Amino acid sequence: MSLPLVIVLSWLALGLEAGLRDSLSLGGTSVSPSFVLCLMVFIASFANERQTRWTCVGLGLAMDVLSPVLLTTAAGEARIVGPHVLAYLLASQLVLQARSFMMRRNPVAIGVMCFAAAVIAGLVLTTIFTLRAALLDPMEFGALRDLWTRLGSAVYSGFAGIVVAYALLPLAEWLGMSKTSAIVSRR
Amino acid sequence: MRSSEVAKFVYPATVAVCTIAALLLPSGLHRPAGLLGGVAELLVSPVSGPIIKLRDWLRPLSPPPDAGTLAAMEQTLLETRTQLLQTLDENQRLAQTIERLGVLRGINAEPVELLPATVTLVSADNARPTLTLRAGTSQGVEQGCVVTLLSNPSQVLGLVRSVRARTSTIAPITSLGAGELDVAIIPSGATGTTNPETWLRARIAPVGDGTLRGDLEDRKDQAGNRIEPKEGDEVRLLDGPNWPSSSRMLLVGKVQGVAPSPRQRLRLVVTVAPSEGDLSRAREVMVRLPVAGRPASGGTP
Repeated sequence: MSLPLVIVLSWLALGLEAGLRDSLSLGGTSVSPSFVLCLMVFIASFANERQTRWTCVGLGLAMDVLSPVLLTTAAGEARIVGPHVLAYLLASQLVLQARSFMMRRNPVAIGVMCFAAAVIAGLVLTTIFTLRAALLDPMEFGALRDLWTRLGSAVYSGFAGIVVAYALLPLAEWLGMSKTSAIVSRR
Repeated sequence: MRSSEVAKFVYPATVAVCTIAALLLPSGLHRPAGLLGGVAELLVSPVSGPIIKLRDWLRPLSPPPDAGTLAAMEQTLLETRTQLLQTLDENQRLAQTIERLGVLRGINAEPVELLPATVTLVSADNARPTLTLRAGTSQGVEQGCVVTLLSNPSQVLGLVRSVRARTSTIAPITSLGAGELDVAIIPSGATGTTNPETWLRARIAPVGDGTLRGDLEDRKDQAGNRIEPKEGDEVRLLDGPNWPSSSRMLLVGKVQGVAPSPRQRLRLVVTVAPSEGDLSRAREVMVRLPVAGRPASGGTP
């Protein structure tokens, strides 16, 4: 896997996440796609297990420090390290297990995996923040509302994953992702 | 121990550290992540900044008003100007009276200085959006400063939640977790504006869809009929635990609807929407800096 290209793509995905998420949200809701998760799913579909794990750690850390959590104390906000890392690692495990029987060169398959991975990540994030709100941090947090928003975003990320896959599949070889994996998956 | 054997332990150790940090460490111990957050925001801003500018250029925050609306606005402006002059005249008379009574010294007007700033980043958390401003402690921004929209300086955007040297983070009042607001609902028309007895009080909180909702004060008129606000009535800020007194009577939004409370059918719940649409899309804002206690900046009137 080409590390410089992965870093550039991660930088672009994080920028798109911060720049487009707001304008792509549905109506007055907070349901919006996650480009970072789509990139993570794409990498997990092709790279080896070790590379996938470290990519998840990197992307998760970046998302954690870019996502302030509002607190009701005088501190105002905090950036919690860990939730996105764990969410992406667990979501990537699903992709790693499922990729052997999926058609990785098919953008729709990537989109479906994006949806499934986003559901897993959403469940993990909601669980962590529910526990934190109950036990650790004074924050106004509605678990059910947060879960619905994240599940809605998972569906949206699934569709975004198809678009992202169309953009990234031509880069698969430049990323150093093996052609053989694609050929094997076609059989 | 060989490097490959060491590498085997790095990944489990990283996962363990992240799990402990996510589930066991209180937010106070995550403070160093705030510094990393500032660096990360700086790094992604070359991508997110042009996208936000392009989006705002393609889809302006509010469409230009038509000729009819403009004429109505001009008429409203003239009426407001008349009312303002009347109020100023009355104020002057009252100020002279107060001065004569010798109590003026005890009143703290709490003046503010306005600082325009640009939003450089919208947080990635979709449920609780926060905005990052290009203004920090070096410009005099403090935690708890009130932020309004540049396009409508009376429309409250939110409070500064954290400040760094060059940037600061604000939570829009519509963002989940932004907290409750004590507000006054002012009936439309000159009578409502000039007669505070017609104002209804409410405590509202963000619900996550860009609006705020909360229980309405139960009040009856002289005939015994319940007073209900109408759609479009102005909602303005009263006191709040975190809000400075200089923010009193700033605009929170307009009444979008009134409905029976789902918990107590006899009570009413009011839904308030900001007058400038989605506050998390604000790109140019005004920070209200407290003047008292600050060093003279030179050239400031």
